[in-house]
Amino acid sequence: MTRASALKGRSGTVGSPLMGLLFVLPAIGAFALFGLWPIVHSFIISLHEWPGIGPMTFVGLKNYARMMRESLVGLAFLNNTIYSLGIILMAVIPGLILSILLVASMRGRLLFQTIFFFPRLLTQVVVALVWSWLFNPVFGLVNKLLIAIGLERFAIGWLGDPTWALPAVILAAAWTYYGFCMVIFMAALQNTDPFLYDAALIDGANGIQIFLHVTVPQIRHVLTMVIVFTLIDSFKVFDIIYLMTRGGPGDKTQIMATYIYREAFRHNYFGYAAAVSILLTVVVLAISVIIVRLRERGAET
Amino acid sequence: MRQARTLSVRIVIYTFLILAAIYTLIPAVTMVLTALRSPQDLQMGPFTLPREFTVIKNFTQAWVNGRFNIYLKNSIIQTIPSVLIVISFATLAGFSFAKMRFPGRSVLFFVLLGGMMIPFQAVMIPLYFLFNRLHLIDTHAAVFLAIGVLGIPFGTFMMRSFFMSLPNQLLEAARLDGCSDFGAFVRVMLPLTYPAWVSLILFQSMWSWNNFLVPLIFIFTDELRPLPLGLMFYSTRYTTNYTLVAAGVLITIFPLVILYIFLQRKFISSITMGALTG
Repeated sequence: MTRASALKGRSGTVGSPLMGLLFVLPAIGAFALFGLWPIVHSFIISLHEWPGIGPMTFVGLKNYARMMRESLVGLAFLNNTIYSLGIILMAVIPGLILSILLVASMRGRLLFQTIFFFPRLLTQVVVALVWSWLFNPVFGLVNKLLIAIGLERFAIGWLGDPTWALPAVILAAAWTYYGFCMVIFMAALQNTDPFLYDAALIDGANGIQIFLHVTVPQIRHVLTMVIVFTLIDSFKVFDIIYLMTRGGPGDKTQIMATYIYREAFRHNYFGYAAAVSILLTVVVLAISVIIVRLRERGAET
Repeated sequence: MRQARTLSVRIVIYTFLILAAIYTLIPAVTMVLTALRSPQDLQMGPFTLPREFTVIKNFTQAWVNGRFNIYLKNSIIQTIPSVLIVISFATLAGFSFAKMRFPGRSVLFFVLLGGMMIPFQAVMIPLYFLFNRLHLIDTHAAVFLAIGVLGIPFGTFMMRSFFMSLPNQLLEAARLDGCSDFGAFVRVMLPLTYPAWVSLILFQSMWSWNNFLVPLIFIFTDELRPLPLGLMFYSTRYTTNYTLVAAGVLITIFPLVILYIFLQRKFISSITMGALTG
């Protein structure tokens, strides 16, 4: 008996299969009810026309057909893409630069890290409020600065401007994100081989060459992970856009999530909104598959 | 020569870091300075010295008239159960996935892993009607159930990695001492999980405290709104009274900022870990 259980212990298992199942049952059950069944239900709703009350009318793939014709879906998809590229440009790359500078610096590492990471703590409602003030055309700091340095003609109503609203929102979102990227990159950089830098210096490489040929290859895996994660996050984003522009002006900053929310909870086109939400899920899952593939490849090497 | 070069390099590095730190802090400083002054004072711009400090008046107005006392209470009522749901369910499941064998183990784990990738927008419409049928719309329960249960996959994943890092010899030793399997879990494993729990609690509390979309969809009464939602409606009601809104912002972020100051390393590691597995 003792020997049998000791053997069992060595293979890393305890308990009876029944106990194992009983332990996972609450988690699986609750998640199945609130996470998995709703996905299936979403798909069922997407095959119907339904204003939210009364009977559902089965319409087959009509909602999907409408979605494919609707230019707003294309615009929302495009805006999500622009948003993700903007975040990579305004947060992932600055985060990488900050992490390199911070790893190279001697003192104050913890203080700087604390400061740069801090915006990540804030609810998007606060982020949106603060940045709406900064972008306010009358008393906002952005325009005050522009006027102070003699660029009055660039002092516009940022969030109401069809061209500049999305970049302005991206700047606000990036503010909460570069410190977070920086922390991840710092962890990766601290695992790199210091001798490679010495070797590169002896070979006469300059800072940019060292960055591109020594640093980046060593953290390539983490860099890819962060970029793919940013892509997923950028397709799920809702709060900051909804709070700062409501998708406006004139749908110019409409993204998938705000579009789904409006079609469902404002216009009561629940079937149609469910169809768009299925599309969003497919997009996010497709990007997630990439991440899993990359992780596998990373584990192999 | 080399010394001089490293010194100048160092100056460049620190100049850049300090500029970036100022950029990061400007929005926060604007908010604090706005909350301190009187509304009439504001037109001078946020970076002038206030002529008159009306801190106490601003905060009591936000607290009582702005009903931030109610929003704060609601945030607490909605956050604590969601954290308890995740901790209890995820600890059990995480332990089981790490240390037990049972039929369907890998399939069930894969299902939970896949669950972490589902965007909330994909489940919010059916969830709304499910809660409607359960008469949970416009209750605290709708918010903490949704936020709690949808946090289970990540919590399980995290607890599983944690239990996998504990040596199996611990369980063997407990069994040789005559512990039952359940006893070994409760008396040997659970006391070791506090560090993992702190990370999970921080992660889940922050997710719950800051959540906006879930209460936006499920809560309609002002009496039940948590801080972020209350703050949004408050700011649209008092669009011109920025000093009061700024006071509301500070009330909203205060608990997390305090936690962050004392537990920053733990905070940073649990949040970054949360993201990279998600």
